[in-house]
Amino acid sequence: MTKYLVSRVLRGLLSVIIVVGVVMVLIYSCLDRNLIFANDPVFSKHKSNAQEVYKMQQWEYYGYVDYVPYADFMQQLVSSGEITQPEFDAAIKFGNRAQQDSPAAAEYVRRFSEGYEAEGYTVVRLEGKTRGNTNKYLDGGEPRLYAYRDVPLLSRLWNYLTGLIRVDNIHAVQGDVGKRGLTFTLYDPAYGGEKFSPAIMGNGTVHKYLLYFDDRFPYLHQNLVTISLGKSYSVNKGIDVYHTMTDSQGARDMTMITYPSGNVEMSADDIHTAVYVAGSLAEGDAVVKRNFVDDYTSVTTRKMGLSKLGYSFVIGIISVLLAYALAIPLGILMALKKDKLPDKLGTVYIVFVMAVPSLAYIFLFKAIGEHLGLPTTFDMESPTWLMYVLPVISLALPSVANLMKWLRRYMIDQMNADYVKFARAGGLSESGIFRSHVLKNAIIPIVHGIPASVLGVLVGAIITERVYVVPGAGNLLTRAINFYDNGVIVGVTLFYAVVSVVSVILGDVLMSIMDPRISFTSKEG
Amino acid sequence: MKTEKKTSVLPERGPVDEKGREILLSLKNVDIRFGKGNSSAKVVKNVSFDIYRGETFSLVGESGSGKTTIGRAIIRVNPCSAGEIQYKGVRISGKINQALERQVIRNIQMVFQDPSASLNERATVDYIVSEGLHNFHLYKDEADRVRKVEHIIEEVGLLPEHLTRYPHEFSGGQRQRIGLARAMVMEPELVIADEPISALDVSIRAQVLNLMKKFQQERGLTYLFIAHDLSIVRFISDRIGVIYKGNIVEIAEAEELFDFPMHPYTRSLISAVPIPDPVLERDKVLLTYDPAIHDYTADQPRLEDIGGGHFVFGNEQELAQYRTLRAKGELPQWRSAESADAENEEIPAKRTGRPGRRGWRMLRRALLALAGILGVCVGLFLIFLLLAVI
Amino acid sequence: MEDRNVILSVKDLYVKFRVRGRELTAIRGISLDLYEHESVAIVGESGSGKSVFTKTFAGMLERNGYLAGGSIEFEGKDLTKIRRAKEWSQIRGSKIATVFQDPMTSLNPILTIGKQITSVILRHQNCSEGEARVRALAMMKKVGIPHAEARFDDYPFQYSGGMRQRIVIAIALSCQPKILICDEPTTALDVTIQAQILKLIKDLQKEFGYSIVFITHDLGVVANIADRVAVLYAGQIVELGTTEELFYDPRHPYTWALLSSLPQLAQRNAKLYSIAGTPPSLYSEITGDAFAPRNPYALKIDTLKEPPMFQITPTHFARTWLLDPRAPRVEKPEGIQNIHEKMMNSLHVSGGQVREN
Repeated sequence: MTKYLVSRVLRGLLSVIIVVGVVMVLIYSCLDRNLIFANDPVFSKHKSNAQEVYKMQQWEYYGYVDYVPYADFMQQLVSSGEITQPEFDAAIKFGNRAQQDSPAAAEYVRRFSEGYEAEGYTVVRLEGKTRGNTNKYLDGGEPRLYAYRDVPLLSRLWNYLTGLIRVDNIHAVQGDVGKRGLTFTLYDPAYGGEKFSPAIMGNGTVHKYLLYFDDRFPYLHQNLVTISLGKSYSVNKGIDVYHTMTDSQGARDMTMITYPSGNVEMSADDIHTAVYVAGSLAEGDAVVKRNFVDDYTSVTTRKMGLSKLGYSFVIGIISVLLAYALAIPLGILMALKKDKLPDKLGTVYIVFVMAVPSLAYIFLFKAIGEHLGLPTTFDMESPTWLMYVLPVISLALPSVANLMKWLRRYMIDQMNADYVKFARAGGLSESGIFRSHVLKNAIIPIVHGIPASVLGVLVGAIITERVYVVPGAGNLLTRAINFYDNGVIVGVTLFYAVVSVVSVILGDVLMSIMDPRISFTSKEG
Repeated sequence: MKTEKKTSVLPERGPVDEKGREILLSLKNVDIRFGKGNSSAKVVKNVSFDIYRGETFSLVGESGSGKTTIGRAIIRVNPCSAGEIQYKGVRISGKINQALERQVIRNIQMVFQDPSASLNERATVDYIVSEGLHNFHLYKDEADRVRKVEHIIEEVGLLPEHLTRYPHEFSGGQRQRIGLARAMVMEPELVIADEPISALDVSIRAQVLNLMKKFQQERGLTYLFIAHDLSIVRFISDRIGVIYKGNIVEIAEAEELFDFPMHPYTRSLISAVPIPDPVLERDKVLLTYDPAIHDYTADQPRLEDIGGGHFVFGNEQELAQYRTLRAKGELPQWRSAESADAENEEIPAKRTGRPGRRGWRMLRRALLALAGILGVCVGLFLIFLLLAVI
Repeated sequence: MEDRNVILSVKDLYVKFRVRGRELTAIRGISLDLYEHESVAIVGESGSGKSVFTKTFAGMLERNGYLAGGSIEFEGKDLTKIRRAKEWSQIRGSKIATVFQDPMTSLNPILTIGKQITSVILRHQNCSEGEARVRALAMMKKVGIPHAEARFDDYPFQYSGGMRQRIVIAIALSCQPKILICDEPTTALDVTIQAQILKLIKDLQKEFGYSIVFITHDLGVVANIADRVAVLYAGQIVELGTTEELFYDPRHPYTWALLSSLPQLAQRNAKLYSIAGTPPSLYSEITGDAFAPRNPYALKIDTLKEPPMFQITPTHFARTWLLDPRAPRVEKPEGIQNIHEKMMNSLHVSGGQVREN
């Protein structure tokens, strides 16, 4: 069984990679890459040559191109000792046009162009744009010189996949951080050093806290292994998709916290998320200087609400539980009273849900809910449990119909099975036949779908979340597509693919546990 | 009618054996395996036999003996893993060119056991019958196609107005007639009939068999008849091959096989057929075959002619005995097995212990799995932690 | 036969089905007494009502079927009067058990063999689970399952077809029923396995003393297992007699036709005998003899009036006007005269098949 499972997992991984690859090919080669700036306010602030350079910088940041400005090239020559600082100063400034270059500049511009062109880069020289005949540049009109090269898709995919999981290391950050190493403590200084709370902290690592406890589920957390699904461009600029999905939302959650400096105050800062940012202490403002003692100053804030994933999961899981709790007895009832009133009512309901577009009945529920005085939108500022009611019902009722339909079908198939007739011929009571023969056999295919429906809630419900303004994960993909946020599209695709692969495998495992005929093992045992 | 026979890849006639009979189909040392690598199983072992033009050759054996597999190998559905199949002396197994493959498909037609499962439920009888004609363009124009289809549908005892109906509107016997029409409209030379009457009522059986006989007499057809029941096979076959667990154990002319069954399996099979005569049936002795009576450790068995085209599977010593007995017109002494009653079924060597309550087992397994996953996580974390320090 | 007690007495039974607003008469006045320890074979084409007939006294009629008349007396009770499912479930399995055609589908694939046997035992016999297990194992050994203990917790898919049918028989016999209904139990099996299963059913009959009602369309199986045979046609018994009477002295033209279509009697390279026409529709009222349209010996009265059951011997009855004293004398067809001799010739009574005592 283990062998089979391992091979299934490996095949699942392969298919995930293929899916991600296909999506990458689609969006990075078929979509116009200028579209990512469609909703970027910074982009429209830049003018003329500066806009071109901004584009290049952003494209490099998001992995489209390898971008080398002339200044970087010169800086590198200095640091490698090839040229001296005066030579650098003489050559760094180049003219508005190639003809206007100083001899020193012309020499290095030639070397830059020839060198990078030989490596397959495209060298671009944007001429300076001046106001009329004056020497004053237009806004962003300075001359620019840079080389760029498209990153091949395969290496993009490779970079993406290898960058998915990062393991922290005490040599991860550069610069002088003092003695690198790990510290084990039983009394986490974040709690004032008095409360018993073991933690592992690192110096030289990206994260300060590698393992710690806090008061949020699942209470034990780690930062040693981090997942990065890809950076968002427009939806949540610069933030990784993983964080976009998992970080808490809503109002700030203020508690008394002890900063590394020993300063205790009310704050929403989550000290445990501290990340190294080089030179941040020195350059930081007074608050930073007051609270921190080293460069691990970048912290996230704790918020009251759940994460996007969290909301989707809570709503989804309640609706899944509700759906099974309602659909199983109702489906059984329909099968037992086949062609009688309960069956007919159930069929009407199933047909209604199947035939009416989901948007229509979700709005119907919304209208009814509004009439009953239930909150129809998700207000994170003043959360009540009542606001979950309508989204949960809207999600549960269609899946109830679907489950009922299949359970009824499976049950009726089983009730007509020969072994049910034989059990009846053996004089077993109808209730006994029902329990040990019909229900057990009919439930097997239903069980197969359980992992898919449980894990599927992580994906979120697009329409429902939109109608009730739930800050869930369901809207992420549609928003990303609307805003041409390719990083998010790839990240979310990967997440969806993993969820589906895992749920299919889990479904098969569950089924093999329920059904003795299905075995993952080879013949021997 | 055979205007469409263009340049045939196949010869008009097959090779002729020493008795002047034309060999239409010949299997030579055919092995068929299912599955791959270690889990593969040889379901047909070193099978060789010839089918002569115009005869009815029956292959008889239990379910799982490989008889259907052989039929499917001839129509190129199952590949042979060794040996070859020749049709009119031309190899038709393995890789063959497309022209030959089309000829084979056209010339060898199959009739299946379950008439309802082998007919497309969503197609009209007209479509089902003329599908092959379409595929091979065996008609000049639409009128010619209609004429052919109507002709064959009348031949099988249905009416032209049935052509617009769907298979589910017919009874089992009528469906088998449609299956027969579908095969016969192609004007095949060889028809493989895989248990064509097993699913039918006694009275319908006779009708279908008579129809098949009629086609054979009119068209000089050759039949390969696959069956598990010897009682009918005996009266419709010219020659019968008995197959046991992938081996052909005996081939002989029908009467010869019933009069002088040499192989113990053939005898057990004959004795198992109930006789529709209360007195004879009551006095009948049921013979149970036990393959353990053969000692094939030293001398490998093979299928050999013991005289008069009567082939028996056995080793040197057995074959010698069969030959002398056959010459004297006697039957071998019945060697009964120790465990004569029960089926010899392999008992799995390894039992999965006392299984106890399934629910508990499942719970235990789930807990174990959870603990395992947790352990792996902790382990990974520790490893990464170690890596982090390096 | 007279010295035996009647265990089940069916009198003038009518069964009808409602099918899509139409009424179908499946059983049209069947009367049959079943004696202790005997085995009666019920023979007929599909649609003749063989299975429906046995379902009436197993309480297994489909929901759209109902008894439209007659009585079934069993152990002093009229089974047609039973209305409650609970009463039936006390009779089914414990007094009247059924074995179905297809052993592949008769057992629940996801329950262990042991559980399926013990559940029936626990249902009908007042015993503990441990005791039920002991009885189930004993039963498994009785029906010839080797290594019964080891195979107790196996699932049906781990058994071969023949072994499964043995398990089905074990379940049916686990509560020592008085009547065992066998609904074509060997049709789906290979001939060698069929022979073993038939032998098993007969051997266990000697031990347990149940009566057998055996449905089949194979006359060879009839000859093997039956003491008496009832030939069904269009929901009626057209001929009833001991097996010898039926094979050697058949009186009804339909029985003649059945015997004539035996392949063992066919001449090589001659046409096999087949019955012309199709059985009548049971949806409409049948006037006269239902077999008349297919009967080459039909008299004029056959199309007008239903023949009564004529008694030929104390055990032999046939429902044909040919037995009326006023009817012309008609001999049975040549093909089935001296059937015993013909069989002996045809089988050469050699071939290792038959040995004379």
